[in-house]
Amino acid sequence: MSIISVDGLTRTYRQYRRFPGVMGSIRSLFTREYTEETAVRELTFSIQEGEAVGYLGPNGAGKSTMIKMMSGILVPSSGELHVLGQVPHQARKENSMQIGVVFGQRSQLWWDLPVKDSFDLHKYIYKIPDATFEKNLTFCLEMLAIKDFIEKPVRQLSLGQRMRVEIAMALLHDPKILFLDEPTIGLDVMAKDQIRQFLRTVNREKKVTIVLTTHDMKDIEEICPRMIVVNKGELVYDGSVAKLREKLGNERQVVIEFREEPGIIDVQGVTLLQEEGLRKTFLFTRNESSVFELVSQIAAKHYVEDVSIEHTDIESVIRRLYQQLAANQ
Amino acid sequence: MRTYISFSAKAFSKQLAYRSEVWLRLLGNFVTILIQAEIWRAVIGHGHVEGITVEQMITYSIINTLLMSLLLHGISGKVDESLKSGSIASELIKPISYPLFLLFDELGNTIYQLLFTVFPTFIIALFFFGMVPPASLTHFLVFLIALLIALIISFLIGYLISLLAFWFMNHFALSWMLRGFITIFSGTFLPIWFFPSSWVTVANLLPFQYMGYIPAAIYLGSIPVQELFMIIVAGGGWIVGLLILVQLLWTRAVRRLVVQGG
Amino acid sequence: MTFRLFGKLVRLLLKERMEYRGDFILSIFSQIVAYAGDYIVIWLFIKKFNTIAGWTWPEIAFLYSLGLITYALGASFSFVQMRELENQVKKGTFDSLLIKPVNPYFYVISRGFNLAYIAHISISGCVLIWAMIELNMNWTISDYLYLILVIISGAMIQAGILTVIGAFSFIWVRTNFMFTLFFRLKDFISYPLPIFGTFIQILLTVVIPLAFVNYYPASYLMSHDTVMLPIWAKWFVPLVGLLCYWAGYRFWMFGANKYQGAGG
Repeated sequence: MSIISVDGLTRTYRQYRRFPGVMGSIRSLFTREYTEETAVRELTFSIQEGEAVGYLGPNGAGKSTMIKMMSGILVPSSGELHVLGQVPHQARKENSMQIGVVFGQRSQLWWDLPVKDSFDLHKYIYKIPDATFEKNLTFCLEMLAIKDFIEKPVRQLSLGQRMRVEIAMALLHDPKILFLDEPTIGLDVMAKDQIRQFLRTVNREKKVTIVLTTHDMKDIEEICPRMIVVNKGELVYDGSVAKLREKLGNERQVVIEFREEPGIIDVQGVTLLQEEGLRKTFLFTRNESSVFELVSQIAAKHYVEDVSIEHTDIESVIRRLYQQLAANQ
Repeated sequence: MRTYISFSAKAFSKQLAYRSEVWLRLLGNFVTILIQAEIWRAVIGHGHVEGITVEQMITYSIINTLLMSLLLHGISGKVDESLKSGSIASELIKPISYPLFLLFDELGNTIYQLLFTVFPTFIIALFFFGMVPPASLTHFLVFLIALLIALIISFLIGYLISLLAFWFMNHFALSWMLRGFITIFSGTFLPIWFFPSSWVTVANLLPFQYMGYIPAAIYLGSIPVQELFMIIVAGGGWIVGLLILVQLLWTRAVRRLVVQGG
Repeated sequence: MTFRLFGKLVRLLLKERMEYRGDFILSIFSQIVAYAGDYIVIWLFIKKFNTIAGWTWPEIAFLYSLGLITYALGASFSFVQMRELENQVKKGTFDSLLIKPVNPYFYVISRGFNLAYIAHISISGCVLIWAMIELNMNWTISDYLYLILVIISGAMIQAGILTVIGAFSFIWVRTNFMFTLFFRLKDFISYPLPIFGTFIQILLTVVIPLAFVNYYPASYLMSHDTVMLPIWAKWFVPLVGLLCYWAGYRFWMFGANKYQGAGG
């Protein structure tokens, strides 16, 4: 049975209108116009127990809204949503005992008090038995190297240290699902690595289901075998990272620098994407012929100074996906 | 100069964004005037106390309530915040004078208050409570000068508090303490002419009376013409004194900031 | 359980305050100075005019202190929490509260429980006791019990109103000036109600029942004529207190639901 099931889920917002300028402000004294924005539109997917899912999309795609609905903070406008077999906002308190939520940019810690105090309060609020608390605390302290600063007030911690503490705290009550909203935002490479490793362990060994939103594709690559991509509230891809790569991998972006203006390039399977003087970016669709073949076809007709073939790391795969989405609109 | 005026304009339109508040603010001022008017009606009635009639006292309350909306009191919080957060550094590298920036920023707010709070409140107050006219043309003109002095002094005191907070203690505590003194010695509610003589002496030694009592007393003609000149000169003296003090503290504060590296 | 959670939070809050001990003590002191200013102005006023509507200085001091002490008690459970709510909603920090297995209202008021009101309580408490001694009232035990009941009820009335204002944050209304307006209205009850016209008296009795905070109970306790209500109406005070607080809580929860998007 799936631990999270989403069926035709929609969430709309009312956005009150503000008018620019001095006259505009006077105008807004008298009116209260608003527009209806759809943050999440007719979304359907399900997540099985023990999965690690990357939830991504460009800014304003409705990622946070989705996390908030799944954690019971927001109520959907329409559609079905079940987390652990319950409707999250109806069973908010009950569900909150079984989920952990980390907001990357919103701390839940007591700023002026030692980390330990926040943990203790958490233990109390979530009614965590001593043994469980000790076990989880030891696990997190070791894995995330929190021990060194557990007595320090939170305000003295670095951003990376603080994020480690936030994640540890979200796991103290043995949640079945862990939601993370941009957990690595603003962190340096080392700190990111540490968090990714930890999350992977939590998922693989403790079998905690993970759903995370991010802008960093490395997070996905290292933690999540599956990804869900949304754009403007709609689902655009749901499947494994490898599949997406395959799907888009048929296309390659190639940058060619010419010695002189080549004029119109007329080669089957090559489309011009962008040009900056003599430096031109092409999209190669390799159905029959390989990239190399196409390049040599061009090189045979024109003076080519330099060629670079873009790597198909996940980052560029996603970029291609977004570009495709933008082009389709 | 145009740069600074644009700061005022910005502050002005920022205030404008807070739509529904205009009505609430008017209501708030109305309530304050109403309370004071009823109190004066209760204790003075139809006669007069020390030559002051109830109409004059109501006018006094209206002037003071309106003046309160105009005073530049928002500044101390602003400086305190930028000193504490360190954003002061970015203010200082801009090719503008920081104190002037603050002044014009506050003036924008004051102009907003003048248009959207003071003027409508004045009309409402005139309709509901009535006001006596100024004692004479001279008094009225000097009253306008006194208003200007009130604005400047309120700005300087706010600025001073925020600078002091930089050294001694939190700005919150200083502002509260200042509030206690202003409540009594500005004469905003109880005019200084009703004070016992020893309290009058203290009030005269402090600048706070310029932020309430003096403009209203001038308007009502309670200060005779021949004393007006000295009152204004003394007000100017307070401005110069505060200005020197503020300048001194400001240069020290900046030096300290540079030494500490923000 | 909830009361123990409250105790736990207060312990942490105290610990947090003690991190900046000097600052805390200083701000307490400065607030006492500020309120001393308010007392002094009224004292100077009565020194000049002897009475306001037949109320002498100790009586006015009692009235004013009753208003202040109940405000401090009520506001420590509401004001700063409710004022900050607007920001929390805007920044989204309110969300982190909804993921906890607690009642959000209870958590908000306990987490923000304001210890600084000790300043108001000490100055108003002292003046209150001074006024009681000065007035030399021959009170029975039941009068003292009634006073305690009145203080609790007054706190509930003010907390209820502040909570209603705070709940507007959920409906995307700026609440800042509503609080200022509340404080302006609260100025009414610094003075005996009869100096105001009938309209204001009705307003403060029925619509925004601030008169029950101090004016009615003080009148009964000092046997002043209360003009509008008969003597048995003194038992309205606890009723109004409960009603206000209950209404505040309900409206707040309604707002929180609205924020979550239930039905709108």
